[in-house]
Amino acid sequence: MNELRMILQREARRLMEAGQVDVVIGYARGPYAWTTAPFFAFNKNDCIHLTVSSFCTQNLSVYLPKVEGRVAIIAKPCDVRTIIELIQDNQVRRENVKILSFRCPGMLNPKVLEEKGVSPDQAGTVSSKDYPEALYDWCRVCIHREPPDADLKGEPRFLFEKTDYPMPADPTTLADRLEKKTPAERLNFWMGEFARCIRCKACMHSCPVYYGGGDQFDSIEGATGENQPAENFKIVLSFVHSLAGKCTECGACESACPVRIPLLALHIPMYRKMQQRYGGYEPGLSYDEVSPLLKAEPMPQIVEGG
Amino acid sequence: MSRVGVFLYSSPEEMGEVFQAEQIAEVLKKEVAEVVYAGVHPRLLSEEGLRMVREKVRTERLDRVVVGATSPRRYIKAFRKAAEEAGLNPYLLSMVNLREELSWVHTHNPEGAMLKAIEVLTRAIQRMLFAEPLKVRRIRGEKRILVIGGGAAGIHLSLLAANAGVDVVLVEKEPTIGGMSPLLARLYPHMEDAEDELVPLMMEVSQRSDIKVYDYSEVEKVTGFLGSFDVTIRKKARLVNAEVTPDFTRGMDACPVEVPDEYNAGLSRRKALFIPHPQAVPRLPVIDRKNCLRYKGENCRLCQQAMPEGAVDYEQKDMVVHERVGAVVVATGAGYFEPSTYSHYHYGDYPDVLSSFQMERLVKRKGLVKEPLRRVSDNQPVKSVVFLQDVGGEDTQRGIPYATELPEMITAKQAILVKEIDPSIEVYVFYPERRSHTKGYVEFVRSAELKYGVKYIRGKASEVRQEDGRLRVSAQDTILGEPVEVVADLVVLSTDMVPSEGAEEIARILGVRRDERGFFEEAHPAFRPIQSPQEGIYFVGAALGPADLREVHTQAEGVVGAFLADLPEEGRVAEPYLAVLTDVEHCTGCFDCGRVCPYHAIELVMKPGSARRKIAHIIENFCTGCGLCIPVCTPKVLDLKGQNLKQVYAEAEVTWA
Amino acid sequence: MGVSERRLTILGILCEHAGAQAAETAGMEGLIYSPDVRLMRLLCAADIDHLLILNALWEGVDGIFVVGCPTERGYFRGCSELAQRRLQAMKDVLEVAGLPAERFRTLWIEASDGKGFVSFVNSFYEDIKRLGPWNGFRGKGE
Repeated sequence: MNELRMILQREARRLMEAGQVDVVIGYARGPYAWTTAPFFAFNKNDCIHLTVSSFCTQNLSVYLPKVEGRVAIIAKPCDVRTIIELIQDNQVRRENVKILSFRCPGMLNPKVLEEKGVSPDQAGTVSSKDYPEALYDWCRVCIHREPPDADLKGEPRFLFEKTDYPMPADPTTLADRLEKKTPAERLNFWMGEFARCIRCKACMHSCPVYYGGGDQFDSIEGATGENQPAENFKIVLSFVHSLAGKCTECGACESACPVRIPLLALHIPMYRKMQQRYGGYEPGLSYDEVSPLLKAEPMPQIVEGG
Repeated sequence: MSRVGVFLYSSPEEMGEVFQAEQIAEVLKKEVAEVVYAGVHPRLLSEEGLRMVREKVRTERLDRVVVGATSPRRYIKAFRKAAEEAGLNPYLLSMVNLREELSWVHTHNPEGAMLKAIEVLTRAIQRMLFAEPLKVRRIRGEKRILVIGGGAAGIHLSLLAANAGVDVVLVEKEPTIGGMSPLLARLYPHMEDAEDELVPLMMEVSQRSDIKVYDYSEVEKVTGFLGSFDVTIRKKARLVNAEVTPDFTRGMDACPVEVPDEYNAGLSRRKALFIPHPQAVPRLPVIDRKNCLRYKGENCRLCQQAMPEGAVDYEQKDMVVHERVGAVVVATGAGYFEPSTYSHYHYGDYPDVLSSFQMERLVKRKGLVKEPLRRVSDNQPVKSVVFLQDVGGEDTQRGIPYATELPEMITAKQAILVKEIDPSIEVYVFYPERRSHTKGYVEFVRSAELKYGVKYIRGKASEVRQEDGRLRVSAQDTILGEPVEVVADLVVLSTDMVPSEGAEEIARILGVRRDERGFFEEAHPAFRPIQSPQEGIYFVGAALGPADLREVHTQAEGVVGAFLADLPEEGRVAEPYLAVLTDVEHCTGCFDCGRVCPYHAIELVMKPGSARRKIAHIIENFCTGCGLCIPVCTPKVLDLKGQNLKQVYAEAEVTWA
Repeated sequence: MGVSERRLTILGILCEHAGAQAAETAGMEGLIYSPDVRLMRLLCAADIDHLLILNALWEGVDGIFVVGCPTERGYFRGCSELAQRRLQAMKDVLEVAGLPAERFRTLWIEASDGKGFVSFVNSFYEDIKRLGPWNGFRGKGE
């Protein structure tokens, strides 16, 4: 981990010195235990604060459309996929971005680590190699651990060799467990979760490829704007629907949720359904494939399996 | 507050018992605050009804009108006009169908129908409250058409269109335009010489500057819509350079290949390097890649060697060109049914058993130069000809499931021509039934019989056989009910038209349907007989079904008229539906709207005041107002004029209110 | 016991070109269906905002159906295919969320197919009757 941190810092510094970028967007140590926070390095000396760890759950590409000039960004492979989506959607120009990406071992849930008695002091070094059971759901289902595109690639190993991705003993996710339940039980589960929702829309704001932002739900037709569980559930489902075919399962929305509603248990099954229906389509892997939900072609025939 | 007027159709005969118009009107007046007038009329769908609407709009100062009657598709125009005459914007009037969608389908449940009627009307009223005054739109387009097929239909249509001021792009897949019609002997019913009628038209087409001819070319791709189609055309390589020399005689003589000449119905043979026929336009040679030895893997260069350097170029490449047009006309014509499935007639087996087209070539000009009609087999003068009319017609087993008057007309024409060559030749026609019906056609067929002495016998031939060097046709005379046998020198099998071979491919390229017979399908057999369901695509001639020149010409005139009416100079009339960007600030320029727009009506432009950000811009002239872009917009900054989200939700909410 | 049966509310959203015409054809053919089926017209099935479907379910509409043009025969180029994809995704969302996806159905039909329309409506109606009323989230969690 230290090695990767050094490589990233060095590369960021080099780009800065060469005058190739005006800003480096990355992670720095967060204000609380375990956490990292977004960090904008505007000069070469700032680069010393850049870091990576198993707790970089934010997707920093959300800032890309808002930043002027040439940018270098530290991005996990799933973040790189959203960058590709952003480039496709004219939000970012490829020539303005240097993507600093790496092989990713997955992000860890500090809560699980704490239960295991791991100290926050180890935040800088702990990884899924040691605690695979702490992997977040979206990292458990992730099969794209290498960036589909990057300006810094190949060399940085981020602790792991190509094949060395440990999995927890029980790889199932909440999405899998919910799928086995009856619809009524699922609905009940979600109503319980959304009872906590405070309608802060952090999930929507944290998502780089959700252009709605979320605040539109306060004023558009079809939404009441009230902070009320059923209403909040409704707008989140609208969010989930809008993201079908765009979501790369980066987990930023769930990580951003202050009341920890497990949103990926909505996104993961949608991702799978899209993949099943549309010939294995996965967003953000190429610059020319657009979401199947934006294509006016007949639905591929699929065999409905039990 | 709005002042809404409701008008209900109260004819008990039309609307039925379940529809209690007066009661419904009373309820609406009481329960919907905005309703200031609710009236009924038993003859609402008439001048009287329109007058009532006009008067009430004025006297009650209505600013919204809902008409509850029948299908808006047919009647709303008249009511909107009436509202307009009374000073109300026509789009502030809406109409709901309370007949087909209510009173006729809920006859079993009067109580439910009553409640539903009130709800349906309330819904329409709520929707209208958020309606904006709108104006009909005009959408301009290219005053230029693509004509696919340069046969009689394509040529006639091209000339008509050009005369009407419409530029034409004519694409013909064969090396010459004209199709088969100029190769015929004569045209019925006035017996003009086909060549003399059609060749000058072919020449005119090639000479006019407002008609661009792509001969020996194929349409590869068509995208777009009425007013703006993008067309990709492949100009096939002829493999010759006519600039080097106009005379390819030596090359043609050198060609070792000989195949039946399709331009002479296979009665003579041609080379693989050939000019289709003397009247070909353009009169250019072509190497037929289907038969040339080089394209069968042999290394023949005989024609190239016989010609000056560069005249024959085996390496010549196809060219791909793009054209933009406002409409597409399919004039791909048809072929004739090949009667080879009727083995007992021995077509293709006995040389004196002919198809109609072969007979046409055989009798061509003979009568005029006083040459005798001779047998194909041994060149002996013909003394007797038997026509088997409409072989294959209405025969689902071996033939085609339909039948038209065409074989009857062709038979009568050729029978007359034989008699004109030599009245002493015996001519018999075996016919299944009389099918001609077009004006003047019945008389024409009758004249063959009465004036020229052609013998018509009702019945189908059971067999044609060769005996003593002549043919014998056996049949049953179904009027007299007795067997007949006739000796003949020539037997002609007249058949009906079948879809042309390329029809399937053209249908795929254009995204249009073919009917169960394989011909192109019109939008409506009575009301839109030459239009495709997709606006801006028209059909003419035998592409639609068996057709003779009379029909071809009528349809060509129809197509030109339809195109001019569909796309007038000032633009085509379009409903006022139009996508609009309601919030420039929140548009991120993601272009999802543009991706789903089937009409390429959305582009990205720089956001005002920003050097970096782009936003969507709707090109009004391309937008058809379909609304596909509205739900894909995540920030919800698009709306549809004429069906705005407020209206949609206001209407829907009544359902659960 | 006398459980008072409330009328079912079924909302059918028809596209102007195929759906509404098929409904009219059904009327012309003298077919019948329940007046609990309310019909509403939109220009195109692909115009349906997914929030509209969610709202209808939230407000306790017992069944929602959409009728649009047949595949590859849309009035607007590609409208039916696009609508099918987006509404299918909506159905998937409902399923994932545990909402009654079976209360939402789509039909892609020729304008001339009145019989097809009515048999679809009637079978949907029967299915909804079997499922019983759905109350949505009215008054819940407030």
